[in-house]
Amino acid sequence: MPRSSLLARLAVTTTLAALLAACQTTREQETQVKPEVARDYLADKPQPLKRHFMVALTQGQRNQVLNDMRLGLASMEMGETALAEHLFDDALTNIETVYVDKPEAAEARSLFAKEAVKDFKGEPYERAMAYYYRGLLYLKAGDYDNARASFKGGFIQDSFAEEDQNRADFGLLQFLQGWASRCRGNDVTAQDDFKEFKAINDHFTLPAAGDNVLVLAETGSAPIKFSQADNGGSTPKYLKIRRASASETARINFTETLAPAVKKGEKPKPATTQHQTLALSQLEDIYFQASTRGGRQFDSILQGKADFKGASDTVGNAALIAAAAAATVAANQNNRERQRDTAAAAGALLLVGLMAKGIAAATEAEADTRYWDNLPDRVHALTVKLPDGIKTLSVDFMAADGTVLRTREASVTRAGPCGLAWVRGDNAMPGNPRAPNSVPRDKMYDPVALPPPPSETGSALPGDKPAEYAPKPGDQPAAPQS
Amino acid sequence: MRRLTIAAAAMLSLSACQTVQNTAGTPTTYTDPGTLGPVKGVGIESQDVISMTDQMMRDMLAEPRLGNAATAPNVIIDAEYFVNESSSRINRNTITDRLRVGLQRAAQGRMQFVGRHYANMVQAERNLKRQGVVDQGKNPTAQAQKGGDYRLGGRITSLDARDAKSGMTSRYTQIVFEMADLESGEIVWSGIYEFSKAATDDVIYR
Repeated sequence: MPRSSLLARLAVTTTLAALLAACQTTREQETQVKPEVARDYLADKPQPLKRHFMVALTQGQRNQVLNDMRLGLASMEMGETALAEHLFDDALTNIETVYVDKPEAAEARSLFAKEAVKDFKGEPYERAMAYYYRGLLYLKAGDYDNARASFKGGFIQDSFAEEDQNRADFGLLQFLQGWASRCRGNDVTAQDDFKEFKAINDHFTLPAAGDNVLVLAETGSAPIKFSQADNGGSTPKYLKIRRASASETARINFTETLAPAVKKGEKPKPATTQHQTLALSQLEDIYFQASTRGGRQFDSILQGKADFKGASDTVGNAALIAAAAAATVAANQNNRERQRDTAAAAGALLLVGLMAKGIAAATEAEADTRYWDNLPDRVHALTVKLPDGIKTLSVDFMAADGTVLRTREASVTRAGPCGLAWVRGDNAMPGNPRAPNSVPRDKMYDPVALPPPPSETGSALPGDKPAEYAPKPGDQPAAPQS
Repeated sequence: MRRLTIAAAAMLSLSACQTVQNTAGTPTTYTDPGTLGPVKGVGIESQDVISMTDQMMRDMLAEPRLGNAATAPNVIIDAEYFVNESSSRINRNTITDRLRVGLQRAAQGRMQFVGRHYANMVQAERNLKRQGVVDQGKNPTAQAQKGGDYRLGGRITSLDARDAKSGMTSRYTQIVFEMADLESGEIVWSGIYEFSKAATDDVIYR
């Protein structure tokens, strides 16, 4: 075989291997969006979240649920209730959509694509929390029916757990179903809901007869997803969860004005004030919910990918060793014809070896580690009877040893017979406009450019004079025609 | 043979890099709300609302005390006492509004519909008329707003089940409609609509 031909084949083989190894689907990349489209989309978004929404726009459908969830939560904390409702509605619609014969789903199952190419719907704990926040927004609006439906929908998501003992144990959502039923005046259903809640969490105190405000305080940072192989192996890399923050507790402080009873004929007595401090109890551990799910059915697909990757790698190694041996034999051959045949065999083996290695390198047996990063670690709660005059509560967030870490104010929202005070220990504003692992690692911290404001020429209408005819600085205005 | 191998490898590598993102989007299309839409789940969907309200409407008109009384009864059909206890988030007005509109068109005077959800609006106008801010209009004055003889109540409930092994989710939804006599509390008519849906999401989400 001519030397040039051998070299050409080697080049082809190497190119193929490189192609496979460097392969990255465009689904993982952010797309370019026309400035006018971006401007329209961002026009009604809150200023502090504009860069985040820009990312959501460029990341498209693949990360839509993830971006809806994190921006919905940030909007909710900022008091942008209508926007938060819209974003969570959008997230839940996508979560509830059943994926059948979707090409995006098929791609995620394929050997040469990562699980992360799929449209994000979140793990069960993330989906359940999306229902939780949508339910809170309904509670705030006094729509107790849909609040309960949301909490119930979230509770159902938890039934995905592989391990029986951890299936449908999201006590927070069961408790809130009971609270919503109670606020609706549906006492029979409320009793049933609370009975089921008690079977999950026997420590938390149920609402007393006159309680009319629910206080929810969220502490800590979201559970972190990562991928790691079991037992020190290299593949497959399964989904793992770790806790990101230390334990915190919370308490509320408020001052109640008490008007003393006045008997007939007596002078009115001055009102007195009573300061109260009440501790909240932990109602849910989000990390626990995230980490006790057990295996996923998708793990068997990852296992299959890993097996294929291992087999391809072994074939590649064997072929390369055989190619090296054949090349040595060829070099030591005296007969030119045999030397040529042996060299050709070595080349073919090299080709097979490189291809198998390339295929092995391109096989993606790694779990999707995108996650909802502004979730809390724990949710604490308290139900209390508060007079309508109390509009805000002071909430202390404390370390495990009782040290006060920070104090925040919680507004009491009343839209029906029940009030809601929801507060977070940590800010819900995501630090990075991009959700963790939502794009390839080298793109995670790329600057996010907002669209420039429309230029003068950009806002020209059809029929307008071209820019060169526009008046220049210093030009005298034309005299009006008579 | 070798060329075939190389070509196959090239196709394999390119297929791994293919993009499936629908960046071009999908143009808006009208879909029939009475049939299964392109986005499917196990909750209450448009086709369920349409068939249930159509069925309830026919059934209600067949009840003599409602659809064939000597004097047309005043009925209130709204979502005030129509409770959602299911796991489907739904705007209950979607169901009761369609039922009221459909009934009003089909009843042709056999029932009179009281817009209790407009009570504040009506009262505000009555106040303006009586204060002389606006004139009396063409309709004769009424002593008071109409009271209802019957009012719609009901409940949406659901039973959800999931098979953790297969990933199949099923939801049985039951919607009960009742018309209560607003003097005696007697339930003069009941209707039930029920359906069950099951679906299995792709394994990548299980």
